Amino acid sequence: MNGIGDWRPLFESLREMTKLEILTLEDAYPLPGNYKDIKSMLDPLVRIPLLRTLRIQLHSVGVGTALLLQNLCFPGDAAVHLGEQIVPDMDYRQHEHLEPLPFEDVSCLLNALEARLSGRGTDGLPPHPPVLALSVSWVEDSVVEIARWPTAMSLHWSNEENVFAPARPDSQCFSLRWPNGSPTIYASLGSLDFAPSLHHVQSLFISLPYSDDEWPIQERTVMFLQVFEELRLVQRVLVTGMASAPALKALCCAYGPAQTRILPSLQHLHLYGYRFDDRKANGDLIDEERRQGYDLLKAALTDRAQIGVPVHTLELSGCRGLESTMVEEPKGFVTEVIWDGSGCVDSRVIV
Amino acid sequence: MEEVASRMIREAARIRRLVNASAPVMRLPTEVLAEVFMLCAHSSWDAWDVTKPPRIPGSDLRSMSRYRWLRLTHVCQQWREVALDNPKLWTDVETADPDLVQILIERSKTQPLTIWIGGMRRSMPPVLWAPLFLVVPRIRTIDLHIGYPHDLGSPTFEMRPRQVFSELRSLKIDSLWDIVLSLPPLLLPPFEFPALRHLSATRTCWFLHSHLYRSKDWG
Repeated sequence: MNGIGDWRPLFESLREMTKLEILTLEDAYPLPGNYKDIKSMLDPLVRIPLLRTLRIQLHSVGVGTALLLQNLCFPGDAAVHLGEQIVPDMDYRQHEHLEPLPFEDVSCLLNALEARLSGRGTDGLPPHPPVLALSVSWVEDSVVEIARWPTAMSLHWSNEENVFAPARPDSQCFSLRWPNGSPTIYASLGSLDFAPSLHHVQSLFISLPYSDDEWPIQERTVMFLQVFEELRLVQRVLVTGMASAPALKALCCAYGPAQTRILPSLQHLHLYGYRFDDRKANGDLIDEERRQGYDLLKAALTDRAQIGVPVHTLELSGCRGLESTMVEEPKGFVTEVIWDGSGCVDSRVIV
Repeated sequence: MEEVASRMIREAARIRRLVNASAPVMRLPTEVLAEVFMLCAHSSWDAWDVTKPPRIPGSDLRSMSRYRWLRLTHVCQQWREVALDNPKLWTDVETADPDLVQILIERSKTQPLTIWIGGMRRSMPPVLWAPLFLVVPRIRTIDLHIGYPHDLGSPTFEMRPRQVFSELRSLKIDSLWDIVLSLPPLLLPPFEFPALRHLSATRTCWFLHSHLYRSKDWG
């Protein structure tokens, strides 16, 4: 390898640390000179058989991270936290101007992630346990966070931690900045081979940023169909904010050769922060527009009931623009409606 | 006259020891007193609200704060002896002062050592590492905060014989600068860490070898 240096000393050092349990790298390895030619350069891989936690934080996650993932071999149940370094003094506008990854870097990173997500690269060490809970959230317009857990868990909003999915020692979390913003995310995500490692997912959490005018709802719907089509055992879904509308569209969309519905085992649908009046947030509300959000929900519930994959429980919390009838009416399509009482625009009290 | 004055000083000291010995606290068993000292030494230094911390020549603020408990050893002869006879009291090496490092290494005898080095000093003097390299098998934890980019690229770490940190469990390296443009030689052969459990590196550029950096063959 030419360029500015050689990665081998790092890997050779790690190779000798056979008892290593926790490895943390924060801004500790910028790119080598000719990284584009690098795939997996070590044979055999560096085995770290006792590793329990791998934490990588960088200003920009890219090929350097891919190199590590491709060349390290550690138990599949190790917690992995991979993400961008948040600079405390940098305000949001500066974050917006961070350089996006080139596509070739994304491709390299995706290959490494795909191997990690699908359980390859453990080389005789304990394999990945089945993933039972999965979170895909867009924390900014172009930053995607994927988290997964080997334990079945309910995802609930935690006011204390300000998150839905609390950090757990057994979690694997990948936070990535994607090129050219969110409109291209779905294409990249769709190319990820989620299926092998995620067949057993039972709980799914989906989040999108609250404002994203450049990403049409139809594209987001297609993304959901592509990314989540193989998740056949998901029973509980928690959807937040701007993810709600495309998710509802996707839930009632005939898809694939069999024209089936995604998430066929879905029983509990939880909408958090759904703005039923979202389309006219800056103007006078009119009933028809408020009904548009509700119509999406109603269409999804009725369609799935008719096609034989009904939702049993609908949960609404932190929503806006709700009318009391919007809570009452779904009881005709689902077995149970759970509502936290927030967001009601009329004065009728529902018992 | 000088001889008389000297005798009076020694007699005054003897009387003070007698007075001290009659105090209830002096009836504490030595083991209990040593345990109290241990608690004091490992308590938050914020709790040591003393107006005059012990003077440690050349030390930075952290080490001066860290060793405020040393005032306990200045109270009386008995307390000092108890402290000096308790090697576990001296196992935390948190200073960039080579003299103090040497003292701590000696007083901790054969106990495992915890090393914390760093601060805003311009550079870590090579002489700081010399006594540490002599007790490598005793070092259990290293927490290194690099205050100057070349601190880990100095000849201190080069041309050394094989060094096995056989008991080292945790190694943390953190640069106070944006990034240290040299491979921390501490992580490379001839240094070995067969028992290492926890490795953490922040703002250190691992793959750059120091000689490449010096030749500007990068960027």
